[in-house]
Amino acid sequence: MMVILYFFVVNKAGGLMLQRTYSDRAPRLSQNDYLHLASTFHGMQLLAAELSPNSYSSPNVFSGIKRIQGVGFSLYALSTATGLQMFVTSDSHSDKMHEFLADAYSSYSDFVMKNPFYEIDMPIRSELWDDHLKALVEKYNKITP
Amino acid sequence: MMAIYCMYIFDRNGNCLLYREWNRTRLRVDIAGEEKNLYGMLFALCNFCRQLSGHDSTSSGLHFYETGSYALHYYQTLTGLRFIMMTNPKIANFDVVQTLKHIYESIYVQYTSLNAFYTHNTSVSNQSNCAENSELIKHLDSHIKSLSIYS
Repeated sequence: MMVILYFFVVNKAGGLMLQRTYSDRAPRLSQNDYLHLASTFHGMQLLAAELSPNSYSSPNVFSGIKRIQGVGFSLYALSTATGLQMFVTSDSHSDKMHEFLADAYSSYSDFVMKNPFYEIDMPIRSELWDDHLKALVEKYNKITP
Repeated sequence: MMAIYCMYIFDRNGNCLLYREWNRTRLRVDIAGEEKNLYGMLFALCNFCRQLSGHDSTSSGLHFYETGSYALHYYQTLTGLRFIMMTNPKIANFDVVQTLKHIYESIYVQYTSLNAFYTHNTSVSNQSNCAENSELIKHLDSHIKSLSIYS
């Protein structure tokens, strides 16, 4: 049974906009650690694109990191055209995580972007989106093997 | 399909000991800069992975990562030698990290540590004096070409 551990949203400058922990199995880190992880991830996306051994054959191929397979966890990342990055960690591999990210992004555009009081690239505080994300996490925890 | 693009070997200080390419479309313009970037990025990525996984073990924390245009597979030995292979991102179900481990154990160790004339942590590319280095590269090439994912 795959369990989702963390969910991060990072803005185009590398600043952390949202961080949620969805399982007790996820290691407890400090807020400072989360900020550091978010900006490191952002930097790594740029470097990974730089280090590609292939020239960009088509402009639609995104050369940043999409998936990381580590020891004991898997990370899946979504990068949007506006520079926003979302990544989710789970304790085992599943192909469904890219769908989870697509769903999370679509609900982000509904609950966060369509909120007239939300300032772009600022940390996100939306109870409605939090509830929606929690429901999404529960749904994906159930349907993945 | 030509799935394997290139390979790097780094020592624990960040010096590139070997670079081989089999199928790469982008030219290397700034070689030293690229090697520094690669080593530094993997160092940061391994720390990132170690922190996220919670196991503070001796393992490097990273197996591989995938981008839109390539996949990078990583194997780190206990002595800090880093074996990196860049491949096509679509090779599913092939454990490249095991291949890297095999390359280390059966090819690299044979021609370096077991070679009395080899100075530790020096480059193994063709330019250096050691004749055994060309043997290493020959064996490496034939091993890579024999892999099922190579073509």
